[in-house]
Amino acid sequence: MATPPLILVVDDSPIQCKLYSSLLKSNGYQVITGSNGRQAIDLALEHRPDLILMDITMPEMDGIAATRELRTHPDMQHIPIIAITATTDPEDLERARDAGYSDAVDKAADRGTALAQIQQWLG
Amino acid sequence: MIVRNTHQYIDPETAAMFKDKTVLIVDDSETIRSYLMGVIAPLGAITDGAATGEEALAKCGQRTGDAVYDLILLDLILPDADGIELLQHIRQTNTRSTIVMVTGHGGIKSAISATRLGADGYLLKQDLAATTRDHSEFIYALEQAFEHRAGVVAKQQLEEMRAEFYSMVTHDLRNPASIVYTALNMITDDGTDNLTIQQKQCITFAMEGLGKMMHLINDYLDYAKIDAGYLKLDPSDVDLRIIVEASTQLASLQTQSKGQTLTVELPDEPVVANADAERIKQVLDNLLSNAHKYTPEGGHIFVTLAAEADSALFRVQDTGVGITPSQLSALFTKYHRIPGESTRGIVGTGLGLLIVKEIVEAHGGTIRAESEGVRGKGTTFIFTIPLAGVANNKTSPAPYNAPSDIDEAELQQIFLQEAGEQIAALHDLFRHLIDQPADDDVIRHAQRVVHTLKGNAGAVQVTEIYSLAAEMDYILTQSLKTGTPLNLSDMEELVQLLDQINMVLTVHK
Repeated sequence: MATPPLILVVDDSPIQCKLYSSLLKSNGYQVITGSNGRQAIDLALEHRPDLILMDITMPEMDGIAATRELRTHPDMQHIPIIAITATTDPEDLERARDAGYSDAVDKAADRGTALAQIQQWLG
Repeated sequence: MIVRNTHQYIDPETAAMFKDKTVLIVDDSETIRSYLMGVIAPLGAITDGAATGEEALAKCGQRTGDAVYDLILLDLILPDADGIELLQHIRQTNTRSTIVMVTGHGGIKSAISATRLGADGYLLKQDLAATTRDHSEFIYALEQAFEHRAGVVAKQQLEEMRAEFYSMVTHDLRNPASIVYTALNMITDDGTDNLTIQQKQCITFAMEGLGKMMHLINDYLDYAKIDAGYLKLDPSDVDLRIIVEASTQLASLQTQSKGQTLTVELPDEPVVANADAERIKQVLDNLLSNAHKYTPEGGHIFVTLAAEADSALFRVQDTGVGITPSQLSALFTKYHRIPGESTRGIVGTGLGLLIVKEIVEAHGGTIRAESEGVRGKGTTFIFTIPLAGVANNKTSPAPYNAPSDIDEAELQQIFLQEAGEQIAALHDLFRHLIDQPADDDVIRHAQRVVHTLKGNAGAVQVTEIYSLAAEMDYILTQSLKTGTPLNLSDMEELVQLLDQINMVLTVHK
């Protein structure tokens, strides 16, 4: 068996981190977590996850800046980066997409839907 | 200076104590409310009243952080609430207010028990009525209550500072120690084997010493966590036999080096408990390491695990120096080390067994030690962990369903705590915005906080807070988008929404 996909979860709120890492772990994924954009870049480059799930608004370095920076890295062009977001404002979502986010999961979405959405990106 | 009014003479100390204090009087009787106000207001305090529990909670909810009421007088029986429950509600978010229970004859017992649940004193209604002119006894009781609360708050702050200091120091020690450890490892593991035997020996000594030091630091760190109430378990259903095997395998290396025998007895059937495997292993490691340390060369150590009716029973028995009855009672307390010749030279923080006890109890188990206090007859440590519930009949896990290992209760708890902080932050931001409604940076900041609150509420499915936060989000977003400053009615609505969120939160707590 191949090793299960590794997912990097980045959110400054412990609830979101805990929720998504529990949800993903119990569905057989490996999970590492970070709490800001700077950590996301370091962890992503070090561990090469299969997918990144990252909040947009975070202290120190937000998800937009982190995604933008990650996308400049040759190895990080095609990795799915999914926003965990509480915003439903189309303009904000467009801004996230422009920065290089692949998709967005609503923080209030029920867990099954969120998981299905993430799994789509893992093929 | 004596402050004089028509009813009372107030001595300056009392006047100083009550000046500008905010007081909430909660009583369904209008007569008693105004009577109490009549006594307290002349002392220079600012009084406010509430007739029901709901009103009291709403008024308390409007005041957070430093703005909480200085004194709350709480009737024991209210039409819509039990005074003691109300007290507990208020205490969950507010440890600063002095709270005094007010009761009739029948309620003395309850009022006394309230003092164990966070009240700072109690007053009897009949005493109030009896002292028509002279309220000095009543006022003295309030002063005592103020002092009691000041003591509690000071103690809490000291505890917090101490715990912070403790954990800060330990972290600052552990990180550099880990760096040294990793660096030494790199020298020995670089694959080139170009060190002299002497150099290798030196590195081994250094790593051994460092290992001991890190062990001590970890003990202190664990203790600091426990002391600050942060010991969190990460439980899952585990076969305890596997933990015993892992721990005893490690210990057998040590016991062999001292010529001790280690016998392990495990049941044939799995012994499944919902437990934090790492922590249970830590308990066993600790007990085994003690057994190893306190048992002379050539001694015996026995480890057994057995499934009882509803709990798993672990025994770690040795043929060591033993513990006298008087020492047994102090065994699980802070810094306890067994004194004497036979224990000299043994390294330890004295925190090990305290940590062990906390871990076992956090699992809902018990621990005790037995010894005759006779050298060679040794000591037996016995601890129990509840077995996993039999109702765990998982057959086919439904895909995408809420997985069993999401700890909803813990999420809720983090949510409540975080939401409390977010509400306090929004409260401050809104206050700023009332003065400067066009400060975009502050609006954006508020929007970020609202997003987190909303997202978290969504995550734990507290839909009322989610939709209230969504309304706030809308108002803030509109202002940012259109570039128009928040007007007065926007501000009013934001503040109202925040109050409503606060109320929902109070109910959830």
